[in-house]
Amino acid sequence: MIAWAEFGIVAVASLVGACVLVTFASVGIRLVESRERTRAARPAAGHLYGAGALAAFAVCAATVVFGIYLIVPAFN
Amino acid sequence: MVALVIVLALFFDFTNGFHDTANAMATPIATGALKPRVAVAIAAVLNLVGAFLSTEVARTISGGLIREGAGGIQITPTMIFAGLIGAIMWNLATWLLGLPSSSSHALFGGLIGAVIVGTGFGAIDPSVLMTKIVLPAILAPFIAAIVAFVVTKIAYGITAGPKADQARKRFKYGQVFTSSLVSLAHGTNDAQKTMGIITLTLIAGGFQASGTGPEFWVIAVCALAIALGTYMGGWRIIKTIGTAITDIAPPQGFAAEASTTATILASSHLGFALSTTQVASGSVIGAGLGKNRRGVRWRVAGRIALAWLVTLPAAAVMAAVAELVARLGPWGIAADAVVGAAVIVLMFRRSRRNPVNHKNVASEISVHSAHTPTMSMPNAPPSISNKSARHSPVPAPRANERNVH
Repeated sequence: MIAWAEFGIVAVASLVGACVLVTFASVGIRLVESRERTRAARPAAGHLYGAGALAAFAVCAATVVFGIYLIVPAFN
Repeated sequence: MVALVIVLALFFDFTNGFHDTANAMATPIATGALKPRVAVAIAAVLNLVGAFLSTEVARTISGGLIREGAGGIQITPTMIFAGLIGAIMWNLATWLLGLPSSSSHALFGGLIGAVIVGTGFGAIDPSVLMTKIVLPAILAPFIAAIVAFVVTKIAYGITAGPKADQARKRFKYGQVFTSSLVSLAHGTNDAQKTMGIITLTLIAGGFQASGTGPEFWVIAVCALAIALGTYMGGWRIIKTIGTAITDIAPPQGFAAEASTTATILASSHLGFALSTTQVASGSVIGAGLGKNRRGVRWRVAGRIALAWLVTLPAAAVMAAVAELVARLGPWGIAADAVVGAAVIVLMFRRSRRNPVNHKNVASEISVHSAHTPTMSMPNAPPSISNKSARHSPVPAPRANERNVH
């Protein structure tokens, strides 16, 4: 019979992984947009947005690196 | 005989490559994140790299589906030959129709058909068939679609705002990374199957010790064959996944690829193998629904689902016929080879009547943005705007297809 528990784990893990990646990418993109808008008027706020975007993209990069780690059997 | 099987196996690997380019690269091509030629080149390189990276050899290609080995049945090179013919025929037929079907299912189907003719139904384990093929095939698109639906909502929700359109274009940069991950994962999985087939043949033919892994040259030629196939680009299938199921915007593309990547990686690491093709198609449907509930052309999705159902039995039947003929002796095998080659040539010639290539696979996008639905999908309904879809559930007639060429 089919292993429903395994299937459930796969479903949850897929959802969590995709959500983390897409959420942080979206937040980063949103912050980049905010930075572009405010940079000229309020440089300090622009820097803050920029730093936030960088942090969000760093999480995305980490997710991608983790993906590569999973793909390459030699790392496991 | 062994040489013939190796050649066929490599050709199958090649068709596997161009069949599955779409899984990773249909969405970035559709949104314009990557130029078509660049996309297939990246996919080809990553498939090549992926094929070398993986050390986990699929020694039992069939994963217990066929009771091979000690105490089980003896798979002969002839059966593998017939199985490959069935798998290749089905892969080419679905490519001609632009249908994204699973290459693995075609391969399993082919082997099953040949083995049943060769040794009888006892050779197949039906419970393994259910748990390893049928149920995952039903579940894969659903799980991918649900994940893609959720993350598409997230992507649109977070980026909503005064300059949303401008912001959302930036998802194109992310698409480069996510689609590359899908390609790499594909390379580590799919080239393995052909390596396994060739190794199995070499062992069966007495050229290699039983229980050993694939030789380096086998890994190298398989990697090259799948990369070459990928670079050829299954433009018809790219068109179906990228433009026919739904119209994809960059956030949707990113969301779909993220879902595909996450689902495939999760499934291959938690021991519940899902077909890359089915996950990718499911993701695109989910991403389409996530943006607009009427955004999915269900007729196209239905055709794809039908192709999935038919893939295994169809490849099995063709392989069974090939095996029956092959059992007549050397002349039978020669007849198989000749007929097979003739059909392959015919299908390629047929494909040139309405070519889909890197030029017109991309022209689609400009057509879409101009709101003039004159796209041509081989044997699929032309694109329809969401507005007209609301009024007529049946897609517009295909009369305008010939305007394109």
